[in-house]
Amino acid sequence: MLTRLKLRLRALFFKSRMEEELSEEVRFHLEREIEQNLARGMSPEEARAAASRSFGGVAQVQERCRDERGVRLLEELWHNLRHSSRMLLKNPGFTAISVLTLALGIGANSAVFSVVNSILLQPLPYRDSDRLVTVYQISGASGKPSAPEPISAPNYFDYRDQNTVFESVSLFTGTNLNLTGQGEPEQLSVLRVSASYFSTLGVEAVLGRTFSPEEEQPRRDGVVILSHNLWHRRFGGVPNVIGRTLTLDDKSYTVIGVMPASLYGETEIWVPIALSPLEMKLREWNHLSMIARLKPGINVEQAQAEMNVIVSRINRQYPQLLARGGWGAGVKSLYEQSVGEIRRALLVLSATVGFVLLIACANVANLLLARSAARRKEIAIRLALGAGRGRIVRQLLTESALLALLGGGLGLMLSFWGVKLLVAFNRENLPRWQEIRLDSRVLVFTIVTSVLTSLLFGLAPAFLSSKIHPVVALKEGGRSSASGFRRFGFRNLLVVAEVALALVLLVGAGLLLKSFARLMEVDLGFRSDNLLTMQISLPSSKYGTPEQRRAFFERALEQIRTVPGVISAGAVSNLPLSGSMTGGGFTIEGRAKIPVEQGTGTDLRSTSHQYLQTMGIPLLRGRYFNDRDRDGAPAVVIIDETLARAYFRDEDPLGKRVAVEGPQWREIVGVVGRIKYEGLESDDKGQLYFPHAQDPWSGMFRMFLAVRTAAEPMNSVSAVQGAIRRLDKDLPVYRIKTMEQLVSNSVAQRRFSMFLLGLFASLALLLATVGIYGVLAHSVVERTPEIGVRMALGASKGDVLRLVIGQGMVQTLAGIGAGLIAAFGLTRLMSALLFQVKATDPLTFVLIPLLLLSMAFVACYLPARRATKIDPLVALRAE
Amino acid sequence: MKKEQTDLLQGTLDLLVLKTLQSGPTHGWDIAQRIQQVSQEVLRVGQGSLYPALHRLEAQGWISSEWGASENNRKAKYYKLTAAGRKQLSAETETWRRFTGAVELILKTS
Repeated sequence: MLTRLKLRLRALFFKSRMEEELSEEVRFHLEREIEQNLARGMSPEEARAAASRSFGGVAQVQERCRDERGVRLLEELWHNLRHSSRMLLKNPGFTAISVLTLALGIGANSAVFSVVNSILLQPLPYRDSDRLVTVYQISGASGKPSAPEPISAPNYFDYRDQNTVFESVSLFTGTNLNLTGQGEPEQLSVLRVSASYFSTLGVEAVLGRTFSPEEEQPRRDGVVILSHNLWHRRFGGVPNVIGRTLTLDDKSYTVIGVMPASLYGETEIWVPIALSPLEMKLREWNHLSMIARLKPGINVEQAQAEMNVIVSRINRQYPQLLARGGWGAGVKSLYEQSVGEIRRALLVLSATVGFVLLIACANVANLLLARSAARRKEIAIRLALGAGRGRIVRQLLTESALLALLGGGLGLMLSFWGVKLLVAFNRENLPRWQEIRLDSRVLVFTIVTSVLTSLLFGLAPAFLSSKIHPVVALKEGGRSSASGFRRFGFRNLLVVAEVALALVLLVGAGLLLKSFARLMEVDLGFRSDNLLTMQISLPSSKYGTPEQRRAFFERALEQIRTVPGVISAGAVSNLPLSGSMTGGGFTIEGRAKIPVEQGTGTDLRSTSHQYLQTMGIPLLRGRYFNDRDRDGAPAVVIIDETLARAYFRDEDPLGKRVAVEGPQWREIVGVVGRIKYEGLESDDKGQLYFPHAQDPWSGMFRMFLAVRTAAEPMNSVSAVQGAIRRLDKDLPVYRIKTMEQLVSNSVAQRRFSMFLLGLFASLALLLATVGIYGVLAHSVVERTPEIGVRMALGASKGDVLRLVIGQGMVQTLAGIGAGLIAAFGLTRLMSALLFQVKATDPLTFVLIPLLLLSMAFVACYLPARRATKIDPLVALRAE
Repeated sequence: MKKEQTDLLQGTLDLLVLKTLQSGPTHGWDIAQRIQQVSQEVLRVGQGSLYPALHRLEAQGWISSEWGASENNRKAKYYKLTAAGRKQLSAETETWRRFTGAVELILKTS
């Protein structure tokens, strides 16, 4: 056993010595044979001749001995590698193009895979994260469910107390608080959570402890837990941060714990939820979120069924809830909630880069086939010398593998930078973006892809090349049209396939482009140009009463209006496209119950009296607010078109009275145009405005300011900030952005998908065009004798042009045809990503093929021109 | 011309080589000669088969090799049986005897 191994190792490493020994052995044998022959009476020459003849071919014997040594494969591999590298170095142009093409294809796939891997394939960073679910509220009578919405505290407690399917549950909601007294004031992203939050997630503090149930009470909730990031960023990462106090929104908190780095996200601080009495009481006030951990053995469907039971129980107890329309509870896995939206886009992206890789493979395969034509002599000689076809195929495959691995290595580097760029530019739209990295799985994926790629583009050329008949090849010198045809058929097939794939990608990109264009044409309902927006939140210590708050905003707006360059200014509780929500319901005087057709009631907006004008929302009937609408004056509201159409279709809404969030009746004094509040794609949700002096919430702590400027809004930022600072120098101003920026951010994800798909589709187009050119150019070279003959027989330059371009265009048309059929079928899969564009949009399906045809024409023209320059005499002589 | 000479099957050649080596270390030329002589010129081992066979047997671990001085003081590679080779020899001999015995039985009946 050991001797066998020793022998193999010797054979591997001391190859030349073993070869020497074998030669010695053979020589010895020959000498003895010659001696024997001499002894038999032959002459020396005869003796030698007889001996060599009976021995047989020495070289062959040596080959067979080598075969028996059993390390053949490894030796062969080593030999193949050396030979391949030599060949690749000798053809730098070919090698460079192939490696680059492969690098682009493989790199794109690696980049997309790392994103897919981190977002879709890795479990969330919690213990047993597949057991975690979110519970949300859905509303909508008549079976059409709305988007997931928050739940209310009373409902949460019922879910918590009545369920049998959850091991633990927790409530949470996000907010922003100002951190002051620590140097630079900063607005932090905060999560208010119940004490069970961390245990539900399965996360433990790395320092200190988590909240205890008593700390959920409003009086005892002066404790916070820091995120790992915040701990390092603002507190130096020191262990004695436990026990330190800090100030959030002018309230004092003690640090009791720090979360591990694995719990990353936007949240920087956790505070106990400390529900207010109002929150505890109002079952209709849904603004909270809930997570739960399923008991072992329970699945989402079972949990959903149980929630449905609990909901009907609640409805039986409180039938008035149904007055606003049907509602229910939904259960979704946390994973689904986090990544569900982006999954489709990522899958489309994966398919796209897969196609690009296939096209790249086709191009490299074509390059290999073209080169193999030049190597036929070499291969023929080796076949004649006794190498088996398998040996040749293995050698060619080694070359392909080397190319692919080089391409893969370069591609991996490209994808590393590509992923960094991708995350940097698209951070907001990628869930779990912090987790995106190139890890070992991506490395394995790249290697496997490279190997499969090499088989894909290498196998066919290897087989086809080894089919050479040695005699035929050697006799005919370097070229022949006979055995070349089979290769050519295959090459043409590759080109057709490339064109088809490129077409599919281009159609997809075209559809996304059109969707995006349509999206940008959507009328927001207000003027988004030259509009500066910002947010101010007032600490309760300085602005404890409603009058103080209302007065502040009034004065702030007055001051801002004096800034040069400012045309008008207004304030609102919820700015369009800001992501903030305040919804509620209202009752119309004289009507019993109103079924709500769209969503949970209406968006309620507390505004300063110039807000609507500043935003450029048109007045359709009645009047805007004015400064006579203050506290104590008759209560008024303005509704928008959507509400007017929904509830006052046949009558004049002006003069009617509604009750909003309380018993006071308010008169409708105006109707304004509808706006897109949530985003360009959202449905029109009814907006109901009231003057902030009369709002039912006793004056807003937090409002958005909208400032219309004459010129570029960002130029006025410091002036506006100065105006506010003059009123209160400690009051920071947040989220300063122009409305155009908000609009742009709201479509950022779409824009990014469009950009990426467009990028890859363009890459595919480029590769396909290069492929067409390459095959046609080579075909011209191979057909030079034939063209020479034609020209000698009287064909004109025009005829030759037509011949060559015709060949190229036929391939292209075939590819376009196949591609169109494929596109018809496949684009249906991306219809969820489209906006107001059909998956079979005729314009796109016509323009893209035209684009391809024109690119193909350019690609065909150059080889065709070269063909016309062929001198028939030279061509025929070379034959 | 060489019709009477039987082409040796690979397995059979292995057996013969192992048997030949049973009497002691021998080099390639002598192995061929001995097989020829002992079989009374019926079996003639072509050098094209002998050396591959020797290398194969060595790769299997049934024989081992060593360089030494031949009768006329020239360098020659001597092969000898290993312990495993001895076992293989008796196994193959057994197989061969059974095989030929069976063939004999069939030939006798017709």
